[in-house]
Amino acid sequence: MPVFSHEAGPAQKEREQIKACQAGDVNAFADLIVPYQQQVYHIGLQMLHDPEDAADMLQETMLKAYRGLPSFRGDARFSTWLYRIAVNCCRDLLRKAYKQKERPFCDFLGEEDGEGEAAIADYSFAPEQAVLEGESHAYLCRLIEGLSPKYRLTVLLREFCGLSYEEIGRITNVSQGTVKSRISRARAAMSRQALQDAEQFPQASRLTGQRREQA
Amino acid sequence: MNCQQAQAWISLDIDGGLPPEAQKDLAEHCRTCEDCRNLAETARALHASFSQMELPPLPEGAEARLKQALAEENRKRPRRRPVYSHAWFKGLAAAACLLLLFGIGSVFYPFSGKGANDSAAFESANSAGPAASEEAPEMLTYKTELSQPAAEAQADGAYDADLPYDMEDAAAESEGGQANPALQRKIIQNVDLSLKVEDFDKAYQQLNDLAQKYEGYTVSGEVYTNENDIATSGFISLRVAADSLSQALDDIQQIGAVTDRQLSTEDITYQYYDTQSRLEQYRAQKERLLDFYQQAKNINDLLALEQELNRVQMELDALQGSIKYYDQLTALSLISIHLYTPSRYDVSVEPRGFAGFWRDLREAFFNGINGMLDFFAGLLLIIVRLFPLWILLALVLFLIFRRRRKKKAQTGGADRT
Repeated sequence: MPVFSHEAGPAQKEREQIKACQAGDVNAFADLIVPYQQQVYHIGLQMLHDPEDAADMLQETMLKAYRGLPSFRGDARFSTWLYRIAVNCCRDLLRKAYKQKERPFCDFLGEEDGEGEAAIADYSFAPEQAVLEGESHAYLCRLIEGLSPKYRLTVLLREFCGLSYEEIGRITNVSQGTVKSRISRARAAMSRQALQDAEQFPQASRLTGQRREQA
Repeated sequence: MNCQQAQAWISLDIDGGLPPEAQKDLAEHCRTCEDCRNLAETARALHASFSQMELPPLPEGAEARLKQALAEENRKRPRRRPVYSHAWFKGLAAAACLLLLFGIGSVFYPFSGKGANDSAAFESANSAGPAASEEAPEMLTYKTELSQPAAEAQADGAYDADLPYDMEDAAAESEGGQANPALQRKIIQNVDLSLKVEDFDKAYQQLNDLAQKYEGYTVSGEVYTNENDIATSGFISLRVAADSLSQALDDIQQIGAVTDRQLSTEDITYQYYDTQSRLEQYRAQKERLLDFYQQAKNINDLLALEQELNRVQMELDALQGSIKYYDQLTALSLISIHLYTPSRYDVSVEPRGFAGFWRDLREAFFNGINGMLDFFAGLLLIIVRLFPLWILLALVLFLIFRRRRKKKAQTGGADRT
């Protein structure tokens, strides 16, 4: 299994920072979360589809982390712990919105996976020409957004947060095997879509950084 | 290998989790299967793109907002260390545990070691001590003293204050075998009892008769009556022959219900035999003086002897009186009886005005205050008395608290679902 351990140096530094934070040092906390806030915000954007909600979620996550830090004992990586809080915050926000009947709620924690391609990804909406011809960033985001929430979250944690299968499993309450299959199915779905788009819009292949197939 | 498995392996390979043999198999498959080859290439390219992808910048002012919120958080709730992380708490807990252990230990091994020795020493000092080391020599003293007249009679000689040792020994031997029948313990027996009777006057009379029946007499009597001049309680003390004491007590039980009874004794053996031996000495002296008196030649001697005889006679009388008194004391036992009738509510009711009410009100008020004070004092006592329990409770709470914290930390702090 892949091991995605940080180097010893940063880990040591992080431990010291955590100690400072537990003593109530706000600046140490700000330093501590620097490497993670963008990832957290990204997760928020992708899961909530709303920049304002994502900003709220970022704020809420960091506050909860700060409050909960005294009880953090360091037997998991700090990043894993922080992402778990982030994921829970997303869920809370979504559930609140669901209660206010603003949007549907689809739990992205737990084992049950839907059957078939549709349960994994839905790229049925027409891609905008601009997206296909524009920046690769927007196109990649579109590929991820097309995934259903469970798969999307798994891919986000793997590709952008650099967590291991085991850590992802712990955050999303599923087994490692489920994480493995979700990632592989999500990747296959995204790759198929990318191939399809490349056929349709030759310039799209540039966006994925893929070599042009000389079919 | 089918394409579905290849799809799983492609993903695993990207994450670096595919073993080398499987990598070879996958490469083999991709050479033959164009679909999978394309898929693998695209997936790898996507992975590379993701890892190079610029993450969206944080929203404007997000960091400032967070810092402000954190500062607010800090001000609102000064971070408090959990109580058990303080050194003083740990010390206190350790001391409490020690105390508790000590307490439990002393429950299971009460007064072992030093304690046991103490109690043994106490016991021996109490019983064996006086009996063996003090009383015994005294008894010996009586024996020798008592045997002196006998020895004198045996020796058939004049009284000599310095009795020869061999004689004393011989006397002791001659009497030792008979276990000293003369040395009877002289004990005064007293009984205190409370007697509940239905008919006071009848019982009082019966008790008086009882004293007569057992060769005694009524020493004193007191009778108290209630508002209606009905005797309800009193004291009466009787003397009865010591030998019939138990019979007398049986009879008393026939008269009414004995609600409590105490028996006390007074041992006057020492005083008794001391007096008696002095009496014997004076008797012997008197005999000698009488002998001298008959042989006296001149008047001066006669006068001196007579004076001396008078003195001895007075002493003799006094001692004989004491002996008589002692005999009487031991021959008759004293029974003190508290006689009472069950209380009856036959007091007539009379109007008494408000004076009584005010008094009752005052009483109730102060009773209330006293009661409250008593209550709090009692509560405090209970709290203090149960202190080992508090320690246990604190320990249990501490453990629960810590476990919960641990659990919370494990599930990721903010997880409330």
